[in-house]
Amino acid sequence: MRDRARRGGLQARLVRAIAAAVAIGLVVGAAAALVLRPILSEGSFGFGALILVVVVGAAAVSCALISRKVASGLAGGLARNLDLIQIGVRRVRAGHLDERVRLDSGDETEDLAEAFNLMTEDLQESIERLREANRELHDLEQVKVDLVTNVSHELRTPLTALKGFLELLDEGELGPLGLEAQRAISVCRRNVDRLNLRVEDLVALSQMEQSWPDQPETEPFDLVQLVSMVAEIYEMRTRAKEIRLSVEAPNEIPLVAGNEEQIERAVINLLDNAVKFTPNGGEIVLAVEECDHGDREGVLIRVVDSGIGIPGNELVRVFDRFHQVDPSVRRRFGGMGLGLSLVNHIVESHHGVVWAESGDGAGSTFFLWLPSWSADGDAANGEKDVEDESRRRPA
Amino acid sequence: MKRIYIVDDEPDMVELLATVLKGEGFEVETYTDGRAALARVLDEPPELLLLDLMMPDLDGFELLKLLRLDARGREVVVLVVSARTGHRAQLETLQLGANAYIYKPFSPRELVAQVRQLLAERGGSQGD
Repeated sequence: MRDRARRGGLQARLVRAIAAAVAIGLVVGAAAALVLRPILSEGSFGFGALILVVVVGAAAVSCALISRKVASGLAGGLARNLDLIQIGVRRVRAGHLDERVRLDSGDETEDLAEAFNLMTEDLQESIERLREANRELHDLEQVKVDLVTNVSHELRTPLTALKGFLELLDEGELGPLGLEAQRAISVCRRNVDRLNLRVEDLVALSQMEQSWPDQPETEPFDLVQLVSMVAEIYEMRTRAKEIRLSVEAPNEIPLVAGNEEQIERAVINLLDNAVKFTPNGGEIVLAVEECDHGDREGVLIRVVDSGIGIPGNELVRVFDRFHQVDPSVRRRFGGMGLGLSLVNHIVESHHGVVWAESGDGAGSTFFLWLPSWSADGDAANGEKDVEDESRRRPA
Repeated sequence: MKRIYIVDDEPDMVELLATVLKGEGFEVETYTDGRAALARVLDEPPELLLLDLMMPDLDGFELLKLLRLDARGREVVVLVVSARTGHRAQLETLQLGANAYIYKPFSPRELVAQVRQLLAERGGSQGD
């Protein structure tokens, strides 16, 4: 902070100006009195008149000098300095963070300029620190993305070899097999499929946890088609366990918007769960229907199984990550407890809802609800009402 | 007999794909190096190219780009086989000129069906 004592600040300068002006005025007044003295002493005015002349003269001259000084000198200079500071403010706001205001006024405006400079310096430093941190975060995210891509490739490639050759063996493409060899291969195939599911869950989970805006795109699609496709994929497994799998769906269903791959994963996980916990000879129904949730229109998928069921107090927690109803479940049925938590995650990010109903030992029903596309009110799509009807496709 | 070239840096992948396709009656050539594969394709184009994306040195994207830039490579049917899911990789390869995309892990049956369909669309008898 510059030593204000040197020039004393605005107040001091004003006081000095006034004092000087008054002094000058007095001198001028006295000089005028001296000059006019012969004229004044002739008349009857006398001493009083002399004093009056001095005072009036002094006052008039002082006023003139003060106003001139204040107007042009002090106020003008003050306005100018304040302008300079304002310019500085504007430039900093426009992004020129290295802008500084140098004033030499020796008064409060100079102090203000210095304070402004210090503040701007601090601001500049903070912003630079933030930028650096942001760059680091960006790099870190990129490392994560690369890692996920790499890991998924490293896991999926060996699985492809396993799955592929086992299928060839199983179908007799590589020569005839004895009964025991056939059995062994079936076991291997089942386990490769299991492994595959877990890998897909992990990959999906790690992809979802990326906060980087590399999110997969969404598009409208037909849930009935998706569910039918998933059912087809599971046909082999359900037949092996002699479980009757059926799909119930209407002819027409509104489309839903979202990431088809993710929703497929969610449905697969629900069905996988049902198949896993339904004993041989049981039944699973995949039902799709139009359904409102609150005041939103949407589509509901029901996965109904005749399996071992879920105890009432566990119904909410089944969707927690790594949760399994009880430790013996893991031994009997395997799994990592990721499947349902992933379903939850996926459905929530699609603004949908998932829940379960069950009676212990009396089978379970899992519900997956998604908002339909026209109800979603896609802001970019202005003609959503007009296109509403054309969107309804037959299943 | 229809010729299919297989490009994948993983030898086990190459072996699997070769086994499957030879079993279906195709004439098969295999490459684990992108550059060698590209040179061969441009020299004597196959009916179909099975292309992996994640390869060191010349990766699938680059190979595809260079392939389509060359007049000799434009007619080759390209089926991309990759572990990379997500629409971005798929979209990019299709934009670069691939004809189709199949995800790993796939079932050999699916692969053969895809190959036959692509060749049929291109015209000509199936499988020879």
